[in-house]
Amino acid sequence: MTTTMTTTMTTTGDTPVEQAAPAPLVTTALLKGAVRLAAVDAAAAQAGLKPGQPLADARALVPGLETLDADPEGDVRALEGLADWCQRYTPWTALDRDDGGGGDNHGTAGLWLDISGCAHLFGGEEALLADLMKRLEAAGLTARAAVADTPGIAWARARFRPPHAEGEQEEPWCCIPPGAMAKAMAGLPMAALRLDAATLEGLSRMGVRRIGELMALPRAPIAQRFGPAPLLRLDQAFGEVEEPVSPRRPTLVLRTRMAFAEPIGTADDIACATARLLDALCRRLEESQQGARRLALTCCRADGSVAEAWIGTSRASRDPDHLARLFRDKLADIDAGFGIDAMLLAASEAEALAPGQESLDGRGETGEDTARLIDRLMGRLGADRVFGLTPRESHLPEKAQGPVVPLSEAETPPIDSESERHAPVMPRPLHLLPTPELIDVVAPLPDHPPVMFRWRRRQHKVLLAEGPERIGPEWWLRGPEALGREESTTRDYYRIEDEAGQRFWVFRRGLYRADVQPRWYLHGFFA
Amino acid sequence: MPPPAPFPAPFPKPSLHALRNRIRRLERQHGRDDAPSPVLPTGAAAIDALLPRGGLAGDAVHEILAAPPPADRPADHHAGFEAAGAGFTAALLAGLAKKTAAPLLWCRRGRDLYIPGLSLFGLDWRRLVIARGGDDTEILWAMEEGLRAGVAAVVGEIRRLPATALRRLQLAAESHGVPALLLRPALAAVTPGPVASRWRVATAPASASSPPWPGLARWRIDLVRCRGGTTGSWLVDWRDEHTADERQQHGQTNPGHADFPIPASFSLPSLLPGPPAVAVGPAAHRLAVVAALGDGPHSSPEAADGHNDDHNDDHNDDHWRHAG
Repeated sequence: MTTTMTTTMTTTGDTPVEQAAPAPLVTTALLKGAVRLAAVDAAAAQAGLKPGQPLADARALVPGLETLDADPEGDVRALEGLADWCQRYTPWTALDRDDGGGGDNHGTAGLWLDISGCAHLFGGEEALLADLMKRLEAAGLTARAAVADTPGIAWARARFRPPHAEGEQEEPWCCIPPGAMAKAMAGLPMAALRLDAATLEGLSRMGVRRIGELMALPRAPIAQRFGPAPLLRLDQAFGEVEEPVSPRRPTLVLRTRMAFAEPIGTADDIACATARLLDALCRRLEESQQGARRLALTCCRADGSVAEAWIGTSRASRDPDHLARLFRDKLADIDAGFGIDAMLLAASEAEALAPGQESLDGRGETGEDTARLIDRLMGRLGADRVFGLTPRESHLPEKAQGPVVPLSEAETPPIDSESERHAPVMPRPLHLLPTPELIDVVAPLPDHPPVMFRWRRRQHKVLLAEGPERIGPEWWLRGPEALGREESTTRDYYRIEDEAGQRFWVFRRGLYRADVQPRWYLHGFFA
Repeated sequence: MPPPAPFPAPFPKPSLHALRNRIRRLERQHGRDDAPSPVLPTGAAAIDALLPRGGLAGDAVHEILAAPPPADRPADHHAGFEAAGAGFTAALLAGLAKKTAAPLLWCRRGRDLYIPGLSLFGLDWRRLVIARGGDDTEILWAMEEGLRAGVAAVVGEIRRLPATALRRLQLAAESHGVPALLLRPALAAVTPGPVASRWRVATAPASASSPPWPGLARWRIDLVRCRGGTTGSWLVDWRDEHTADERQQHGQTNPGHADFPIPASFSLPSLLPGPPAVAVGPAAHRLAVVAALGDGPHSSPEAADGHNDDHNDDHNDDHWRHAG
């Protein structure tokens, strides 16, 4: 049985409840050449305002109308934050992107939560829903929710009420038991089936206004007239056709969760909770003989927002102490806000890790220390700032090396005759400038090393020189048209030494041409 | 207890050294093993002979300063002078890397190291882990992490060095038996503290040499401070006679002296097949002392008066004397 819950928020969901009552509030957006209402709150709806109405009309109807600019992107961001927060109930949460067929954006203001197998942790579906609604209300959000066996019914019941409940005290949430599906749906308006506007209008013209009336009709003529959509939606609602909904984030199996009776806020508490989550997660990793490569810690704040911290390891690990050390720096960035009332830890990347053999003196395998060192360095300095270097097969000096994952045997070629064959014949500098720097040079023409050069306003007299070493462009990598450009010209490199004994690597671009002043560059420093 | 490393002649009392070694080992909080910590020989016999353990102590902090630029040059402009220190460090590490399988951590802020140039000094790039820090604090932190993780050696390019940071490095180096090499700019303020040795390394002109083109490297090395040893100044060459000879045989180079240049256009070096010049640690490379400079190696005060402890050590460092 799949239990699905849909939460609908009013689009002005950020408005605190106590402010919603007095003045009707609407958001407005420029649509079809006029400022129109994008969303209306309960008071405005009662006054007869509808989304899509021009603002001028609305003002005529309700003089004391308060307006705000619509911020659809902000709404989506807020909703995504809420979806992450809802992971405290289930790892499977998603934004409801179905726009309900009306073309307006009320459909985006919803969330899907798949609570299959999670409800018992909270004392059943009703208790889970009550807890959710209580927390949302405490966070100042107006929400409606429904739990049902299929997404279709949950979606419909979260947004529409059966007519017999009209006038009664409305409960903002309901649980539809498995046997009551037909009853729950029969009284709802056709809009609850998520059909497009044209179909809805056609059905309405036929006199079909409630889902129960559609269910009573023969199927074939409906399909002929309106296409497969109404019947498909009906079948999906009753579970005869599977309706897949994708979760917002990959569902993680390796996941631990901790909820607190009182929100926590101090750094010590967060670190302590992280350590306990890590202990639990590492036990599960050990059972499945896996190690984590990437871990995500999600802290659900009491106000419905979340804070996240990520760590990565250079090789799979399930050592809680090591992982806790990696988290230590990241936890400082977590802002507890009004307090954190639940924390989740998930291994988003894990790979097989055989049980390690501890050596007799109690220390782990060799290499383990180094891997941990690299993790810590990457954690603080940044993953791209800790690297190894490896030679690359290119005779262009600036391409002859590249960064690799430190100490990775896979990426580093062994030293053999092949790589030696590609090794440069002339000595290379110890430091290479990332981009060659232009220098002013006095050099006899046509092909002599410089006798004097000026780099960064400082003049150097050249006493010794060796060269040239001619390095051609990689013409096979670029088209023939690139050959004329300056960056793809031949370079003549010279090793030169000034009167202070500093040794430089300089080159002249291009071949000698009587009409062109050659340009010289400094490219490196020898030790 | 196994006998410690063989002692060079200038060190006076082997038994005292053995005792100190033993005390040092007892003092280590995390005894890694019983073997004495490795020594980083410079490779030049004349220099190694002056160092108490025949090389740089493998469980201490060493400082390598770039030589001050000449008076007529601005202080911010001494790229070549810093490259000499990096080359000297690479040569030291290359010797160490042959003895152990652990990685080398090089924490830097400035220019990238260039493998083809590094391998000239015999350093195996596959063992190198480079950590780029944004400021001195990050680099000092990374160095300490490296020392505690037990890598083979840690190099750090540091500008400002607080005394407490130096003390922390020294403790970490000592307790884990890992050498820490600080590469510092020429005009860095010298921090008083437990530095086992302090060097100044500068490029030196090879003008007087023959053949008339730049050699692989020629440095002026000043040992300005050495705990339990003596100081000295040398002119050294990083020699690669083997390769130089071969290059000449193959007509690979076309030496052109700036004063009387030889037209170079008839040589196309990159087209000719040649012998591999750069491989990891070819035996042909070594540090060779060309000349001892100044008044030659002389005994430092504490070496003369019987190896006193740290507080005397700093007196043979000019900068420290000025600072104090």
